[in-house]
Amino acid sequence: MGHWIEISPTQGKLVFGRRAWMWAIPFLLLVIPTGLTGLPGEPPMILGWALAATFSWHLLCVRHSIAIDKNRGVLIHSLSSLYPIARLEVPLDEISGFYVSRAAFERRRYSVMMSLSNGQRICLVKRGVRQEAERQGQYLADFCQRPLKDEVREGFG
Amino acid sequence: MSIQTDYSSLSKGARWHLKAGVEGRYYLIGSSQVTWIIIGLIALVSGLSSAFMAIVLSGAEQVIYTVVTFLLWPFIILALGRRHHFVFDRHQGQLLHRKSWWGLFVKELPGPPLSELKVVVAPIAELSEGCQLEVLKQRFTVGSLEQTRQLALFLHRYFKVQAVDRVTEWPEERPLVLPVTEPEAVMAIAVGKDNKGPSVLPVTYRGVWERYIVLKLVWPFPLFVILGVLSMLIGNRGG
Repeated sequence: MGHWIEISPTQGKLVFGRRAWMWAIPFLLLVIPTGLTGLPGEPPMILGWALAATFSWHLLCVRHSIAIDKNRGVLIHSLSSLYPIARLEVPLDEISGFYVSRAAFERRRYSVMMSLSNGQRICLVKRGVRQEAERQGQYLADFCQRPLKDEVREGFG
Repeated sequence: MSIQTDYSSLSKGARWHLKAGVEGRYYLIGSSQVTWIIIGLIALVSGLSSAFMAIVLSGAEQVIYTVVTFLLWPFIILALGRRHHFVFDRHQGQLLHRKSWWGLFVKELPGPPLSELKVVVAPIAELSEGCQLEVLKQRFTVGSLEQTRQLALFLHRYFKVQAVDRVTEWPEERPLVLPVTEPEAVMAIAVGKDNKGPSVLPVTYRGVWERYIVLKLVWPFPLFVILGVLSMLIGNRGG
């Protein structure tokens, strides 16, 4: 899932969904020919076509990444799909560490969380496999030189 | 200020876990009791419905439901009666494991001395908000950081346990100390008068997943609906 790219010693990036565009191919094979030949004049058909087209747009264009820029001293978590969807920018000084925890109310799903010096906790990666989450957390923690803690508790769930 | 008034100034979440027993014996409810009560309540719902069925139905169905009712009810009574308390005993200076069943068959096992007991104010790792108190591997979800700190300070003041804070300098632990020696300080924390504490967040960040992502994901949809209508019009003209 998450792929770590080290651009330079001061810039690193964790990129997600790099192969999402492959899933767009079957949708595009359906959407483009039907759109070009003309859709039948039924509202459900048009809405369905628009839904499939939106879906393929996102599969093709979505960019999800967690970038660390030591020159600017920030961690940028961004989600975009040609247009920006959500973006979070946190100064590296305020990050006290990263940890892997059990996803709330879900079995066998783990999240990568970030802890800030003001006591805030922010979820970076949701619902992953445990090893995957630990690996992603390790990349981020190593590059930022912050601790990675295991906060997974055994018990319920 | 007495222990009772300080106790009543604790938050509701704190008083849910820390109960005031007879003769000033304060105790925390163990997680095994909570588990058994939850199981018991689930069994109670099925027990009540099967009892109801045993009354209203007749014939073979009545027999089945009567058998189920008679099997379930002893279990419900067993499960709901289970008590497991961590008693803070000031006189003996010890934590006691007090186990009983509906207040009967009381068994008190000695735990660690209170001076060696560590209560930790810890973050709830799974959630982005909220704090819990960790005592002997048991976790008590109290509420906000201040409420949890208040409970830890209360235990530290009256039972001389070691109160530790793992939130403000996570992942390091540091001792939680009373900011001012007056007991009013504890009250001040409770009502949020103390502005110097670490609870004041200078900047609050909002995680990517906490925003309305789905609303933004549907932005291209109207555009494609218009395109779809255009495609239909052009296609119909051509055909």
